Amino acid sequence: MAAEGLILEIQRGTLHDGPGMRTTVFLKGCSLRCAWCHNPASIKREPEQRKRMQNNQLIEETAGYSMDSDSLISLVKRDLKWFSSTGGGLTLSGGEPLLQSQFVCEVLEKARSSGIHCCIETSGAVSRESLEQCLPYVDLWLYDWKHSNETELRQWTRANLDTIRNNLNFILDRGGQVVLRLPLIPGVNDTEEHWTTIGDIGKHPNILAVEILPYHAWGRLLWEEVGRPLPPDFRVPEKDQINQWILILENLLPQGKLKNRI
Amino acid sequence: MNALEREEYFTQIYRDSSQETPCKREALLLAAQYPGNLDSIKPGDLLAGRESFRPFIGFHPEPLGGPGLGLYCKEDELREWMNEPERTEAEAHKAQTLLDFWKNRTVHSLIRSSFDQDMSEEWTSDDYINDDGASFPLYRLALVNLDFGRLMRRGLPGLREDILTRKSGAEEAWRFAELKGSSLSDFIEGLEGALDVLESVLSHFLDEARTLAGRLDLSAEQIDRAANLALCLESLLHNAPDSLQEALQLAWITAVCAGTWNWGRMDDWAGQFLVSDLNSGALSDTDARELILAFYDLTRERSNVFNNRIILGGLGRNNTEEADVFARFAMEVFDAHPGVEPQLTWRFHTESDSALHSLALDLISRGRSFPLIYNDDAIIPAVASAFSVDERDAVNYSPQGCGEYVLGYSGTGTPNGIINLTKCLEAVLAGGRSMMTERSLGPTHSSPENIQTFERLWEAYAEQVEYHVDLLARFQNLSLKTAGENSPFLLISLLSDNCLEKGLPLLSGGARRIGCSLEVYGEINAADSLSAIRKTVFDDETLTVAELAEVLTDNFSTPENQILRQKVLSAPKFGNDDAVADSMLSLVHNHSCRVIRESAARVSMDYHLAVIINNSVNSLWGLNTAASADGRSRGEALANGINPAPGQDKAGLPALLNSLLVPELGTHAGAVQNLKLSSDFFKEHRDVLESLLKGWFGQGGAQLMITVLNEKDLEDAYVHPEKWPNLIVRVGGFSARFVTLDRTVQKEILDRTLYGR
Repeated sequence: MAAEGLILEIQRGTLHDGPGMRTTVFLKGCSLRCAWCHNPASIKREPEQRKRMQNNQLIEETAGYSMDSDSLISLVKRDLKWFSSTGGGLTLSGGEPLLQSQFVCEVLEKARSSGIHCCIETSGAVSRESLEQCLPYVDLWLYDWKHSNETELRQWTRANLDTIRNNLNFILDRGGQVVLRLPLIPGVNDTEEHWTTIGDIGKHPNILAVEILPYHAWGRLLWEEVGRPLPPDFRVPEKDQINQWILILENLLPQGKLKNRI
Repeated sequence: MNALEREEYFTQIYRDSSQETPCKREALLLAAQYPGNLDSIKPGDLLAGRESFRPFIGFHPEPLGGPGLGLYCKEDELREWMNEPERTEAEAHKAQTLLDFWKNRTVHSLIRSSFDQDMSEEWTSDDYINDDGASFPLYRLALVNLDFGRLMRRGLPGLREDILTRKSGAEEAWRFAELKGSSLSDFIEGLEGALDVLESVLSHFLDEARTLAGRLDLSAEQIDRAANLALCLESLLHNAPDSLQEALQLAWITAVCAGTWNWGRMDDWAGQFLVSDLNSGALSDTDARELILAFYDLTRERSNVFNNRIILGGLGRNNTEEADVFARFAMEVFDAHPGVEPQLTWRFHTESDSALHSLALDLISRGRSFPLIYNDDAIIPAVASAFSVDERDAVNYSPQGCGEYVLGYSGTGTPNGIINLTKCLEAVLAGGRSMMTERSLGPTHSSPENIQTFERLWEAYAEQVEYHVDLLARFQNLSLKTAGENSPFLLISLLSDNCLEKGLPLLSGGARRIGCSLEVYGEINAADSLSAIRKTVFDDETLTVAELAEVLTDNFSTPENQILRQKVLSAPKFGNDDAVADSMLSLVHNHSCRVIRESAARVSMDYHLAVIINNSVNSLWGLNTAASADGRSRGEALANGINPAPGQDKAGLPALLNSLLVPELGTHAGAVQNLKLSSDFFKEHRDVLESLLKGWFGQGGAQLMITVLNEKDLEDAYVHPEKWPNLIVRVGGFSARFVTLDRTVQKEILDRTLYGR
């Protein structure tokens, strides 16, 4: 019997989650509690009620639904022709997809057997087994690197830096191809220590690219929709500041590796 | 010039020529209009023949602002003019006298007076914008392409020679001719008279150019230009064109006098002149660009945003290499001087020059809205099938107007009717009446209580559609026949396939093919409504057909009806890769395309084909269409072309593209598909976009009309129009400055889903 996954949303035609035009599946459930989370409905590991405004009307709906791997694959396969023309494919994101590793692994296996290029976006704060299980089927890892200081990382996200670092090294050592993704929040992780660490990691030949994701406030109101208290009000970086970060990172990283995705 | 002087002069010539045959009379009427109606050359002009004056009365296949098909009088415009406060009594009297004279003499009035009973009952008015109806007739000979290649090869002297050669030919064909009281020699004489008019226009401008060249108050450059223009005009009186300037000048004057608005495969007919001028050094690169721009400026001044197509690229050109050079110049000049005209059109195929294709995308990415792109590999076989011609003819298809294909200059393809499929469904649900005014529409239907199954509903809908299609097919035949009995359309006949060879005027047996198209609106809303009815009425049994009719008449106004609206809104919609909704669209699309195509044989036309195009009619007609079962409220725009209802495509771009591939291509003469893309998609993901488009066309996508926008800009333009005078958007069938559009059209464009954010 096909495994079931808990899904928050499926987006077809995404451009920002790996190469080409893709289908991105946002799985529900995350072990981290990032203070800047822009998708808070993806945190809880079960369906929940969400209230939101649509066409000036308040609607109440359930966020999160189950789907088995076969149904998901048949939906994904409807876009095979666009994947093949644009070099796109499937991206599993979240939440943290690897919290549902059995489902994810099954989906990846089936996708790969249909010739679909597969990406996983992960925080890295997951068990080694789940990584190992999926590794053979993943073409490209979109690996979040949120902070380079153990204490600060724990404070802002509840994550353990060692786990994330070791898991990244594990993927790289096993030949996994990685795009490092950097959420950049002014006053939180625009630190010297962070830049230096990224510069070091970025030298690894299997780190194909480093993408920056400057903080934006669009996700802030979504917290209320799922009944969570509003997160801290971070400062949205100005263009000048973003350009400054780009300059710093360009100096530290091998040429051409930095990609600006806003 | 005194008010109505030209109209009175034209009328006088018409009266004086009452004893002439239609051919000779038309030549006299052309001479009454040209060169008199054209503007003078201005200092600095590179080409002559500006046409800014639009008389209320005249002879024209397709005048703007009123019915055409030959002799016309724009009665509404003239009445409006007459009632303006500044009119003197004498002017008002003149106007009234003209109105009275032309009342029963225009081709429009002759056609109307030949209506059968069904037509008279169904079409009590021709005002499709303000009046209630499910179909309307249109009166025009539109989308005409002239054989510019022949015009270039032969020039005026060569054409005269051809006419004289034909003069000695056989008379027998005339027994088939329908033109009242004419003979072959009349036709020949008429053609000669029409050529005389072209020559007199050239001579007139030659005099003007010479005068300008002698004016001491002008700059050296202006004098130089006038002197060159004089040489060009003089040469055209004696020879076939031999330079780009001569080619453009002759094409312009001929089309203006013929009353046509489109430029055919301009790269093919003008390319060799461009290349030869560049090679010989007669023109520098800059000179050539200025000349092309001068031509664009003429089209912009004469302005007809629904036409003015310049076709570039594609299979079947004679001078591919030179044509490609022209195509590049044409696109680059447009890019440097953007506007809403001319409507540059890029036909491409697997072997097209990739640099040119990329240039076409560059223009689009910069928000030019042109060129419009068409995929020969998909369209040529589809055209061959729809028009029942072989691919050698299909290769000359021209996307014209708002997206209708015509077969080059081998026959007519004028869209002389419009039908609203959503309104047809409305009529069925209301027992054969409009929900807006309760007027009867089409065949009488039994009351909605009797519709107990989806199959019964479909039968009633199909019956309503077929009734209007049949009526329109009969009308189209009647309109072309009546026009043909009254006018030979001399210049169009001269430059259309077969007319001179057969010795017969265009609409009297001369044209190689006689056909029409029918503009279909509301196809998507009708299909989505049928999907919603099947689900809510017949599957879920939430309400009956009769109850639904009440909800729609009520325009979802009560709280209970609001809830029902949410229900129907959540039913499957076209554009989401949803098998249920997409197959319903196929059913509706294939049905209307098929019945329109099959109606041609009943009225002895070579083809009668659906065109699912868009202009602003979908928005304007929406105003007269009641709430529909897909959740669209009363007055809201109908979906545009064959695109999802605005904002109803929610499943992502690949899903949309999958849906857009569903409706079949080979049974209609053009279906417009729009795509609203974010400017970021072009800027940040150009490689993905290019490969996606390649994939789309490789999958059989026929065309795409792409608008590149930044959503925030568009919203701002809606609120602060004064800040965005030059924001150009693709409405569908034409491009326009956003701020000049009707608010309902602006809203509809805002509501379309934006992809690639």
